[in-house]
Amino acid sequence: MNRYLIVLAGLLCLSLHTFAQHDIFAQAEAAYVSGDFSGSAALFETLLNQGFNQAELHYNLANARFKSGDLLAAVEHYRRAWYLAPRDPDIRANLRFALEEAGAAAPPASRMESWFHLLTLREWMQVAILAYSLLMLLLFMALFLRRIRRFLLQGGWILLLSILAASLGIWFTLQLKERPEWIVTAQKTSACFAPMADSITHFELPQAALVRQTRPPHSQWVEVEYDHRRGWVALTDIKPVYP
Amino acid sequence: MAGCFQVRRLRVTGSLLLAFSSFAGEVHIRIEPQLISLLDRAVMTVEFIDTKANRIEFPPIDGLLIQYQGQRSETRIVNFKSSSKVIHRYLITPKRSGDFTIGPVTAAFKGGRKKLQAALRVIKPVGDQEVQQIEKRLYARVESENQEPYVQEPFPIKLHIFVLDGVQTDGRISISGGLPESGLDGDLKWKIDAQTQREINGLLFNVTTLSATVKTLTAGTFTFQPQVQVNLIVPRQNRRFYGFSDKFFGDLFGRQESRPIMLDCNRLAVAVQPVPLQGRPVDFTGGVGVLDFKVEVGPQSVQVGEPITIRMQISGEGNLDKIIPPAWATNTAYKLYDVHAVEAEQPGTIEFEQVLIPVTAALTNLPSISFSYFNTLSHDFLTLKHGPFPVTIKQTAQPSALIVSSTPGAHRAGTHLVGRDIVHLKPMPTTWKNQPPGGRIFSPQTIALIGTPPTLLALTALLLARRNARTNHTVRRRRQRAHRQASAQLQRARKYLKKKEPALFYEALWKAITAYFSQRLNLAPGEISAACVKRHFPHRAEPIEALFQAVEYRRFGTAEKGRPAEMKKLLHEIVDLLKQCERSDR
Repeated sequence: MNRYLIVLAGLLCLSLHTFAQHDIFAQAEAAYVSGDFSGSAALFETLLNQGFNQAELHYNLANARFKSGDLLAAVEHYRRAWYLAPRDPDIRANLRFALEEAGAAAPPASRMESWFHLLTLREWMQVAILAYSLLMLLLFMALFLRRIRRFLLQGGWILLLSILAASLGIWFTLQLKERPEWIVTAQKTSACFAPMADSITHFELPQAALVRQTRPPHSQWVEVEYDHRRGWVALTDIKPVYP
Repeated sequence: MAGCFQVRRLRVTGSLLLAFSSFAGEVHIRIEPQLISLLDRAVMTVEFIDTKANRIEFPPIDGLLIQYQGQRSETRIVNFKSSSKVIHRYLITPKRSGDFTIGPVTAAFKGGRKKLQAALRVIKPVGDQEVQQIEKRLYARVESENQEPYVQEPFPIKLHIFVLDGVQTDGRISISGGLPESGLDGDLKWKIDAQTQREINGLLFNVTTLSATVKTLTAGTFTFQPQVQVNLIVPRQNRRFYGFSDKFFGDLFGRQESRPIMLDCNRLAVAVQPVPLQGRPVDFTGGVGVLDFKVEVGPQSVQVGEPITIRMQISGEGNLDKIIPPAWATNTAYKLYDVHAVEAEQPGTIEFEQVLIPVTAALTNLPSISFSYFNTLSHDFLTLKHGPFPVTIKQTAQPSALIVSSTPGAHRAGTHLVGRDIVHLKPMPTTWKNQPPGGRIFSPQTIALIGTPPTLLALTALLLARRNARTNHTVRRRRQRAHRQASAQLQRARKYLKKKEPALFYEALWKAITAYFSQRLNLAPGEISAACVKRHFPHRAEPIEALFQAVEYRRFGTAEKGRPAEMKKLLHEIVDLLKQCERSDR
């Protein structure tokens, strides 16, 4: 009897915990609708600080920050939401809008990058595992069913190509960890030709611009790429976005 | 002696110093001459001494044209000391008089960096006939028909460029500067209106007229004095020799050159008036100019719930792009939707569309609508009013649900968006994921999971392959069958032994032997003999021979068949022999 009570108590705590998140989310939504954007942002941030790293939370927080006038935080969280849900058209539209408002260029992406960014790392892995499992099943069936072996093997080629594509997607996404993305936090930042304080400025970066690191940092500097140009930026002027 | 030694020491020290100094590079900048007239040119050199460096890119300077000529190298040996120079040459052509500072620019070279700066003064020679003549032959004039426009009221300004007939230019005109730095709405876009000829003081001039429309954002005095540059084609000047590489002056045959000339232009001051606050109507739309307002309402006979489209057109000369659409009065008898700007078919016109849906058949008139703007001709606010508009609203026969679309008007191609904003919040997530974005991709469990299926697959394939190989191979098949068939016969032999039937017993033994060896050796049963079997099992030749003889003797012999103990012993020996042959690799 005691055991059942303990289990029941545990389930109740779990559901209470879930209700707590629902409450906070609902409060944040209500604050946003009533025009209290700062309060709404603080509540969404509470959920994020509790460890819930979801696209909806980042997106809503970004909306609240945008409405408060904090374009930097808005772009940062829109971008994080995009990494979690790259196909969401609302996230893409709002990110583009926020970048335009900030006067920053949208991160350029080649066709291959756009294709590989359609799925997150987790989704690529799921595709790979699914294709792999089906391929194994197909091969097992081909061992025993001689009559339809040819068709099974043809299907196996398609699955093999899927595994290859998913592997490329995984590799591509992992490459992003080698070239992390940063956001410019300083009001005005200069990208210089060399990682030195008195180096000649190559180009200027507006606040909230998204830049991609091109090589490992050098002391307090990092080389970044922005709008097809490269330059060195001080680490104190930027903040990591992903990963 | 001591004196000679000292001199020698001095020489060595001096040479060492000179040698070391040669490793330290140096750079100098020089302009010659530093004072020139407007028709003249100067040469700037940047010398890198005992070092190397690429040419320096000088930033553009207003009023000067700096052209890179090339580089040359020099090496000198003086008192056994060699020094080298790399000299970069630039040609400076003035476009106007004044004091100019070139630089500072940073020259980076092997050995260091240095900031370079030089000064040049360009004067307009007083009494220089050529300069005076140029001013009389080429000049510009700017004017405006409207010297006191209002804020937001577009007004035209015209720029006339006069070139004396016979004076050659290359046809290119550039206009830079001389315009108000702030307060204008957008950039000035010049367009060529006309190219005519005009007689002025008995001289014929070719006149190019350019015009631009200006709109100001604030009131105040705006000054226009555009800096117009044309390229004059003149005979080659023999004032100085600038080198063979100079594309303008390097012509040995003394032909023509193109020289940029900045034209004299008058100053135009335009006093922009503010739109008055006094008497401004409440529904002032921000329009300034001379405007017309038209309204169309249709269809005028509809049923309850059906849309009526209102089209408003504002045309004329004014700040059309800044006008806010007039607002309709709200009423409980109808539902009003957002107004949309629509692409107008005619230039100088803007159109708005708004949809209205009557909710009651009691509505007989749509209220009047007014458009207020500031008329720049009468210098007063003007309100243009239309309506009321009679409409006939019929009640539907069976009251049905009023379907109200959020966008009742079709989104016509070319609809101009009035505003933009971010997309609203996302709803609450259905599941809450409490996990960091990173994490290991391939855990040991994952690797084990990935590796297991192909391992199993390979094993299965291997086993199947072996099984198939065995079953498909005739020799192997028969080999496998040998023991089974022999066992069956040996079982019979045991049975006959028990039943004490020696003839059948020996027959069964013989069948066991022939069945086994025929399958084992892939031969026909009739081919089996002691000699044949001994050939294949030479290590067991003696027992094979003995057993074959014993069985044959007992089979065909008419003498006693043997006692049961002997029969049993024979059976055991045959069983042992067959087992040994079975275990044998052969």
